Amino acid sequence: MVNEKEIYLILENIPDPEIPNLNIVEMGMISKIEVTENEIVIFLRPTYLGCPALKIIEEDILSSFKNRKVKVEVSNSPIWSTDYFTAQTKEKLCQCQIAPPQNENRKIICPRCKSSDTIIKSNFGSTPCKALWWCNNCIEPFEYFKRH
Amino acid sequence: MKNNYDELVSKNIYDYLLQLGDDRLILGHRVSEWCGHAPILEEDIALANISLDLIGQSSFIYKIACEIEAKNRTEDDLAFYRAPNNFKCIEIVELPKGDFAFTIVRQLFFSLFNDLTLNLLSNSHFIPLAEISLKAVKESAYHTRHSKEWIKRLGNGTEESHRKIQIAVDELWKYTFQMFEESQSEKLLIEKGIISDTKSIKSDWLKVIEIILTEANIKIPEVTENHLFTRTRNFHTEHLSHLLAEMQSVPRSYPNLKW
Repeated sequence: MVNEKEIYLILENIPDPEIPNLNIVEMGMISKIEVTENEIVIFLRPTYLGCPALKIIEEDILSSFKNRKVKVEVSNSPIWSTDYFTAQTKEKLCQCQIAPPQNENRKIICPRCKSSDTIIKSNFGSTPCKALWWCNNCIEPFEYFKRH
Repeated sequence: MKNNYDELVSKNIYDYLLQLGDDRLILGHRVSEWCGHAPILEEDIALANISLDLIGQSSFIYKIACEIEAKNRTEDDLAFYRAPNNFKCIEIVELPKGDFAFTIVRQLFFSLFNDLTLNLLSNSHFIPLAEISLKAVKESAYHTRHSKEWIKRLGNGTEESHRKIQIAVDELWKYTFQMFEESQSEKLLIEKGIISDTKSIKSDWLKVIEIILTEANIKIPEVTENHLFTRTRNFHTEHLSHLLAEMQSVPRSYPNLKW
């Protein structure tokens, strides 16, 4: 029987389809794993209910465990939140030039030049989890991972 | 799903879930019609995102409905293989998208209604509904913020933008009454203590809308409620059939087709 740790190692190899620099574990999308003798059940929680990547992630998980009996349960209990992001996850977001989620009323820092002279352009962005910001210092747009 | 409810309660939970799902699916589809047509790129993306959230919410709500119905149906069956007269959405979500002002005013009216409803439902004793509401309310609050900002900007903008928002508010106001009409299923679930009383939603909604519209320098129309504006969810505008004909055409032409 495999242990949870081994399963996590496999899951950590599955990138988020929209932000490939992060894997689905770092994204906080795995809420629970249940291992029994016959089956592994992986509880996947959606970031946003309408996120089109969810289906792809489900398929990616199933194909990563080809030789084992695996079931994916989509569950919103407990709900996904960016509050689960670790410091390392936030750092990785910065590395791919996405500003990590910030608490309300805190300055959004440009992931490129670290300037806090930034302004929101649109509450929505290229994926449900991001918004579009603008850096007055770089004179360039950047993406911000919304706090959720 | 383990279901400890008797047949009557299960049937009413199912009906209530349908009304919740239908409002969100139909509005989600309407908003998606802006994709590629919005006045600016950022709004095109914003509306597409909102549409996706609403359709996502409906899909999860339908999933619970299917589980409680226990007839092996899926969320796609509910969306694509029901006739217009079996839908339980309110009329405001069916109306054609209109101009940007019309869409944004409708979004404000519905998003705030959605917020208040989901907030209340997140305390439901029917756990799957409570869970999904807790999740969806975060998305919905964000939608309300988006439309609120636009209403204020356009209401206080140019003469034309102000005029267009006022026209949209005048046109849509009468349709808002139906949002607060208690359906049969809702009534029964409240009686059984499965969901909390929804009566407070109307006054809370009015309070917030009045503040926003006042800030936007927009007048609230004087319309008296009458039976036409408070019809049950079994009545629909002619627009629903047209919308469904388009939305359902592919799955109905090629049933069970897989990508």
